[in-house]
Amino acid sequence: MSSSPVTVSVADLVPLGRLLDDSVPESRETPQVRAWLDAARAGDAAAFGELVGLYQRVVFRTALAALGDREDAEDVSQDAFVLAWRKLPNFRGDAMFRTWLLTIVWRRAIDRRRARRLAWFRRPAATADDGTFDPLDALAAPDADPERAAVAVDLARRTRRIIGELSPTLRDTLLLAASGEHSYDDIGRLLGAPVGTIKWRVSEARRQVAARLEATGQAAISHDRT
Amino acid sequence: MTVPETSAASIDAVARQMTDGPGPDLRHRVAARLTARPWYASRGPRQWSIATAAAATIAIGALTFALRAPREVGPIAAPDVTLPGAAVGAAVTDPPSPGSRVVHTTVRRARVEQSPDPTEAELEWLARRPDPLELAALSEPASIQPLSPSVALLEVLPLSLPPVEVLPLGTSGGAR
Repeated sequence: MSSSPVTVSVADLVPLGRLLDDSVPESRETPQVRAWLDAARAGDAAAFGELVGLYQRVVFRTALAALGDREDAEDVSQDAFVLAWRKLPNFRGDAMFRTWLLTIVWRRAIDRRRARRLAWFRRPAATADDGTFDPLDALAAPDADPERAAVAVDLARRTRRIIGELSPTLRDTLLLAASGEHSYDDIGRLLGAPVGTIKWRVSEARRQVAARLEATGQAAISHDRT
Repeated sequence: MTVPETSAASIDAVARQMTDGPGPDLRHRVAARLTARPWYASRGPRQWSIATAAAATIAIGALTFALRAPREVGPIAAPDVTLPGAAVGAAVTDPPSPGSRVVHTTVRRARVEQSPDPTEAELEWLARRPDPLELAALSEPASIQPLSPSVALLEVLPLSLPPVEVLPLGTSGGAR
């Protein structure tokens, strides 16, 4: 079976920029959150459960950015919520609860990563064939022809592998920034770096990924022609 | 090298998808962990009473053993003794006896049982003890003053010299 080479650029992946527009702006605690916090401090586990429901998504995504493994991210997220419940009497409210909670999550995730020495980018990626969820499948344009969509998904997987091979500093910063859950200030607080450094890391990570994509793309094309 | 805007957005999209997806519902799991009894509270009272008694027994036994066990004292180096008349050369050439310099000592703590009632031997010994010395009454200073010295007074006699006798010249005695 002979197939004509299909060229596709990373610009063909959709949806793209709109994914980054729904970042959560930081604001002071809402009255509802404040009420839940006060009740949770008084020992109300149900009120703390409401806080868990409110922040579980951002907590899980933050842990996943550090660990790259969904099971580990779930464990760390649970541990972080339990630890936050125990330390809640010490929470003075100087920072927002969300920031305080994410700091706990990030530290536990980094501890887990160090302890297990997770080479998460080397793990086999989940594919659509084994029935597990692969979010990269959503990157292919739904109205594209099947061959073009398959190439787009392959390109996305190569991009993911290259992102995983970045240095931990660049990879963490890029994943946190691209998640859309954190502002640059949040990321700076989590990683202990100034905002300017965070912006540079994101730019440098993009540059390295683009350069390696270009190199591997050329290699793939030349391999296909032979 | 600058990354084109479309490529940067595409890379960000892939990076976003790497942390995206259906997250777990952690509310029930966290609530279950918050309401779970701690491990030490899951034991029954009978188990804890047995464990406490066993721990107390072990502690008492260990303490008793530690108090009764002989204490091993390490080697004690005997001091060098040089006899006054010893020859230096002989001391150097003679091989030292390995057992003569180090003394191993085992000290066992002995408990002296003290009875509140003295034995007959002790009573006999106590009966032979001398009477205590009489103490001078410290409230009377004169009683502790030394006695006056019994030395005879010196007698000073007047100085009496015999008169000088001068004889006339030509006498048999001559002048002196």
